[in-house]
Amino acid sequence: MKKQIKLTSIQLTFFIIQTQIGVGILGLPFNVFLVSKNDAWISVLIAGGIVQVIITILWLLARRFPSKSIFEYSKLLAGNVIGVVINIGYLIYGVLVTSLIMMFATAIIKTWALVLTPEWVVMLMLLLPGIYLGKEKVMEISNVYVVVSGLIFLLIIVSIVVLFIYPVDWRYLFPIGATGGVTMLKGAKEAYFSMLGFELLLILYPYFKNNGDWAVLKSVSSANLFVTLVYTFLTISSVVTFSPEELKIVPQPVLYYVKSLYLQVIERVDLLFASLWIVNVITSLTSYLFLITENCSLLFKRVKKIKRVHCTVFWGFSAYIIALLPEKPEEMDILNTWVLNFSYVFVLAIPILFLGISLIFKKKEGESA
Amino acid sequence: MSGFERKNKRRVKQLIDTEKVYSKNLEEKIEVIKQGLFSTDDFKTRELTFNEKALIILFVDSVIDNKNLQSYIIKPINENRHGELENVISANSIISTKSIDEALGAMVDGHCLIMTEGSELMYLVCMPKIDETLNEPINEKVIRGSHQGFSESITKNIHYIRERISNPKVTVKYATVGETTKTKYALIYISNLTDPDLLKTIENRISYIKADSIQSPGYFEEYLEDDSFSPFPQFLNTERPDRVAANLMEGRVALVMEGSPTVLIFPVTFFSFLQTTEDYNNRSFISSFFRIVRLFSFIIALCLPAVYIAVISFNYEIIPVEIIFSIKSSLEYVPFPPLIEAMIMQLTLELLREASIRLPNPIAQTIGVVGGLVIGTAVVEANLVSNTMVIVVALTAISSFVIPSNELSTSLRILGFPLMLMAAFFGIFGIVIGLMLIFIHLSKLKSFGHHYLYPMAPLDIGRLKDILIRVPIWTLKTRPDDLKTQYKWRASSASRGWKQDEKTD
Repeated sequence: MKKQIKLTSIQLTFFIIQTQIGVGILGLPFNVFLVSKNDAWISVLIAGGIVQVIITILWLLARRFPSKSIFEYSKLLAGNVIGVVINIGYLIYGVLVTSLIMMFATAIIKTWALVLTPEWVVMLMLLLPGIYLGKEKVMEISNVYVVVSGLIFLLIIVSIVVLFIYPVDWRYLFPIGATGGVTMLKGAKEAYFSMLGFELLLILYPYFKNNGDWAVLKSVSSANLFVTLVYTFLTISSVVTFSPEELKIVPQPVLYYVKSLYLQVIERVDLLFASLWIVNVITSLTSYLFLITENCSLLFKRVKKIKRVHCTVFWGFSAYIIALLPEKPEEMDILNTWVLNFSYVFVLAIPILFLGISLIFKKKEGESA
Repeated sequence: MSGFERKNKRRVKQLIDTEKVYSKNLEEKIEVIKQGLFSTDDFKTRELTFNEKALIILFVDSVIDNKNLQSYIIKPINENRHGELENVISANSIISTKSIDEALGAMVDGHCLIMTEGSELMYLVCMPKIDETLNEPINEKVIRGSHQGFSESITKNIHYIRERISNPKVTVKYATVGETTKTKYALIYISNLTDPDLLKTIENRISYIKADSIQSPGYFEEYLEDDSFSPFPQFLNTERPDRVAANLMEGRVALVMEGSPTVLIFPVTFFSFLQTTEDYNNRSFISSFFRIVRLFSFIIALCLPAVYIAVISFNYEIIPVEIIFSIKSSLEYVPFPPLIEAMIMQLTLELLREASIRLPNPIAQTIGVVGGLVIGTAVVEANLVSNTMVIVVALTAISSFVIPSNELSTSLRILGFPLMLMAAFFGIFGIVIGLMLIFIHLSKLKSFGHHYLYPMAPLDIGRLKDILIRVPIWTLKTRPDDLKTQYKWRASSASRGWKQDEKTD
């Protein structure tokens, strides 16, 4: 009965996809467009490329410690004290991302569907399924992810249908590359935020190591490729459906052009769509709660009384309280910049540092281990 | 070489042992036969003396007519004690054989085996149990297929199963449970198919039951199930022998209990509850259609009232304007919010259902008329409930009755209530959250350590062809992976090889 059921690389792919696609997807074209105008889609592609480079770095690092997650080898590489500090840093990062996801999602839900419902209720509704799933093991989480990924395909199909029936103007895409490299890179920074989620590779690697290290890289890369393509596609379709002046005033262009779709039985597809999109938000939320849980249960390994569930619930509600704190959009932006900076440190700087240490001092997991 | 010859030439390795030469020693022979029947507990022996030598009658208790055995075999042997065996026994046919395999095959098919000391020959006497009673289970009727239902006696029920899988590999393990009640139950499985680890788990779980009384399979269910607080049934209850046989052939285990016509089957997946034996009796085209209908009915039974409430009280915009007008006009004079409306109607429906179960048939029909027609019309005319709500509730009820399993359909309707609440509070958003929670729960749920939602979670696309639709049986060449059966073979790929023979070009 206790037999370990093998986790497949497909599950890893969907795990990463579901973590990456989340809150950002509805607003991404708008945010990127504000910076890099009609070349927004190139920015998205660039962001995808950058993410791919980071993924390779993370993979090179994780490969050196195949059966350990980053929270375990951080102590090996940086020493006990600094290792624990870094782990707590990851914990804070996870909590902040969780609260940011909840905040952004709640803001969109409140503008589209539940205008009068108090914020804390909506957030609680998002948090509960997240905790319920986040306390589970990788197998259960990825099983759910694989099935709900069907919704992403629904999204793509609807977008394609819209492209066909809505009067689109391909000329909005031109002139290609006129905005210049720097602007495009700045746009890529905007897109990068929506692509966060691949860092889960650092903790997922040991679970999927049975498939071989190349298979892991392949499945994470294909997840990233898929997400990049979906984002690019959505960006292009937003740019061609709305004129540049229009796009400046529609913060969720994806929802707006879905709105134009008219089915005989459903008048407002966008409302249905926004509700289904919640599922993707919850999966991202769950992934970060999972990250927190893994981290926390390792930190408090010695204390027998603390179980996984306690970690998820405690940190989940901490994130919930943090998410309730900011009242003005400006304060939300502050948190947003924080998280972005945090992510540069924890997703980029520390793994590169670790990789360096590991390469220079030849620290590696023993073959026998 | 015609296909028929080819087929007979090819033998399935796992199923047929090579012929061996057995010793003449009686004890050894009995041991071999016992092993051949996988030490099943309904295997019995009876020792007699004939011609001053030991004579042993071996039989499988559940398929043999005990009365006939006593009066036509045991009694004459005891009275005569000497002479030729063929002349003593009164039976229409006596087959003599030397092959143990043949004997095993015949024994589970209603023959008893007679062996004498010092003789290589064994005699097979046909003495099958014949059961004329036919009681079709009223809650699992089919149009096409067997109309046999289980009875209340455990040996009869095992007989029904042995009738359908006439193979020595079918193993029956009797035991009793309950300090005071000493209820007799039997575990049935196919020895060379069912996963031995699964059997160990089951036996281990059963060994922990220390209770004063175990009265029905429901007790077992509660002691053994993985999650007692889940709204979903984790054991399949059935009164149909053919369903049990089909599930045994999938590698599952059945639990038969004295005094109960319901047999428990486990481990099961969620989709077992949406299937009937008729699916495999109808043509695949038709069955596929009904499978889709059932899945659809599952969604309707779960969500329709909730969606209606959400649309009416929150998201008017979703439905087209033309429909809003007609719904609005029927809602005009209704004083309650949609949630209360739906609750009233759903509860009334549950009342009617519960009332009609308890009443004798003719009165139950009256209840149907009074409940359905009178209350339905009057409640609308009195403006207590809107027309559309009556339609919604009726549709929900009908779709919940489409689901073949009574437990699942009831738990669905009950799950509808929290969903309705969520819909009333948060609209479509609430429904999505509710469904998400249900889905997460389902994919976490296990039945005896096996994923409940297999092959959806974990996703196994190749298996969905026998779940969402039903492809022709010959395309299902292997068994699903989740039950870890000892062999995966189900049908050879050349089963329709005659196509090659009849090719004209």
